[in-house]
Amino acid sequence: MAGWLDIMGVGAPTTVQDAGRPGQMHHGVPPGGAWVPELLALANRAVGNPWGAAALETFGKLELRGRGRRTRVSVDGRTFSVADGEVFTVPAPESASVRYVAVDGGLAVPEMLGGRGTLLVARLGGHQGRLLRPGDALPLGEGGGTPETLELGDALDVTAPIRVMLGPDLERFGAATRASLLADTFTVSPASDRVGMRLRGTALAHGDEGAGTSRPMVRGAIQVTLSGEPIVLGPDHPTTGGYPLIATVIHADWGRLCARRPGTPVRFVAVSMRGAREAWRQHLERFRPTV
Amino acid sequence: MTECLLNIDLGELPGEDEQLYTLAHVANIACGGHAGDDASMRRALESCARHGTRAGAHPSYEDREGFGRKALEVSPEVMRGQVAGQCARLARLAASQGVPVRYAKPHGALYHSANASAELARAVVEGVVEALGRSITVIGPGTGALRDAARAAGLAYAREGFADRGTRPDGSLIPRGQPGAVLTDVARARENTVRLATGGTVDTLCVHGDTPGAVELAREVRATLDALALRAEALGDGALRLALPEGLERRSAREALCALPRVVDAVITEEHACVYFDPDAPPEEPRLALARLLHVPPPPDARPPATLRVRYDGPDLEAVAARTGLTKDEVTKLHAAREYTVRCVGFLPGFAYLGEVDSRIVVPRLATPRTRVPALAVGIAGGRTGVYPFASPGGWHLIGTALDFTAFTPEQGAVLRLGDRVRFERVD
Repeated sequence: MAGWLDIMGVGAPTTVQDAGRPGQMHHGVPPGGAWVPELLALANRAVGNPWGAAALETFGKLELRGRGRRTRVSVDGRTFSVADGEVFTVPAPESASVRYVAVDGGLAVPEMLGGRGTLLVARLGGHQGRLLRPGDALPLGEGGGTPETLELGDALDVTAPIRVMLGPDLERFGAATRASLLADTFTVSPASDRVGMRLRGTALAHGDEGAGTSRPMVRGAIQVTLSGEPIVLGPDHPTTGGYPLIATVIHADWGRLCARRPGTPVRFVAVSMRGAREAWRQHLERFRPTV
Repeated sequence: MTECLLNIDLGELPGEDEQLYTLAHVANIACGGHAGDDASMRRALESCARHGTRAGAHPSYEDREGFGRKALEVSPEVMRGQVAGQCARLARLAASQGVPVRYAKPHGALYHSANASAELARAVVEGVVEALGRSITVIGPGTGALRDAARAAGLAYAREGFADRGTRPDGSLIPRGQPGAVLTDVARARENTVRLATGGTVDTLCVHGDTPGAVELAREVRATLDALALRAEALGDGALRLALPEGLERRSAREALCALPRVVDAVITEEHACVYFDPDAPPEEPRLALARLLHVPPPPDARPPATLRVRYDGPDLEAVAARTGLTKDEVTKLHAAREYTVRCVGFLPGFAYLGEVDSRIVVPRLATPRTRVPALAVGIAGGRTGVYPFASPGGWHLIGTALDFTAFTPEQGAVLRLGDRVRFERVD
């Protein structure tokens, strides 16, 4: 029997997100994916879904209703049962910036260009390509997977330095600016969204007008605007851009950075390609052990 | 990585293929020892001048019958004189033709015997210096007496590997005459080239002009070296940004990169190609995928140009006219007068960067980008124009609005693809 998740109340921007839609950048479509992939994995695996199944990504409080069947619900990995027709409340995220609500079987919104996540700028994916609002009803997939408890460990440690690989445009910055990147403490700006996380702190001057020609971009790249403000590109970043890139956050630390709420300190530490790959391998073992 | 150069022994045989000069970075020109005479040297130097090939001297034991392949009993002092004489003969002709001689490489048996004898090596180097001066790069084996002698004399030295010669497991060459000594298979030569050029032990690779299929081999080696010389920069742990050579057909380049195992996506921008992958499974040398395209003309474009209807009503039309000293009408006419090509797709889903804009209406980006540009606005900035597929922030000057145009659909993605041709039709 078909199941539904009804949106009854929304306290902050909420979208459907999943593992993203890799391989579409050549259409100008960013990779998407969860703002904090570790929490998506925890939420999904706890109700037996593949780690990257479609779930709710919310920055605030939610009021939801299960309908059509009994459901298992997971909030960042904490699970409970919801009876057919039962209304339940998901409190706003307590420590991280965001939280994930997964339902057994996943959210069965249509797959578009290889993913089910919402891309707001293109009004693509998720539920009608937009933010969710009360009255929306999301279809559920077939559940029945084997649940698994993943451990966060120190993955989202708010005091841990964020690992970056320097460059590729390092030569456009002076020695003092390069030193600032690794020596200074930045804080997460409230003017951050899935397109990019803005950081407050020392201006990373480069005097580069932006050659005007667009260059390839990637999630985690730290682009520096003309005013010297660093922006760490998020999952919905423009696929090309003109600002110089002083460094790039490694895959393993995307979630560790994005989990930080506005005002949280951020320090950077440089690692080698080898260090980055080793960190990613350990990350995969921890968060994608079975899928 | 410094560029690894292709050197080819030339001016040795009648009926030599001129194409070899276009493929070689350095031509080692036979200067009378084992082969070559004034006429062949002149022809070789002319070919160097015509194709921008760097000229080098290729002195040898004086043994034209044996093609310099056999070591002779020659005293170091006599050897010095013979090398100087051969090099000077080339230098004289080169000077009269205005071609600088910048390299010297001993030929055949002399190459090996000089490398095994400090005395003979010194004699060869002294002969080279006497005829050609000290701003010469000596080409020779990776290690040995020749390198030591060149360095002792203060000359630059290029360590040589052989793209068309088989090697034993220990890395030494399989002697000529034995099976597998000379590679004629293009794929093997390519593997050899990658191994040698990326191994850090050679500065130049040789293809012998007299190897069967030399032109085909040299073309493969040169394309491989050109690809490996492209700048590649890590964009974090899951992407590699490659300098895209101007003139490379952009759509083919993207398709070639995308087809590589473990490459998840490939994006072409103005000056770069970028490949994306899982950091746990990086692709092998993606630049080699571009090698194939470097010396091959692109396939003709079969798709007819797309025509986009535009109402020239943009809020910046007045400013563009003022900035360019034209009337608004002239600006719109110039914008609609030419056919554009899709140079890149990116920024937003379905956004196509179209070029080249007529130089008379080129304007920079806005000093302060708009926080919201309406969907289907037509913008210009620098030498590019494009249609915003969605409402978004944007920094281009807006000159019009595209009518009945869909830039992106969830089913097919971007409607305009790399290399597509586009025209704008003015609608009043």
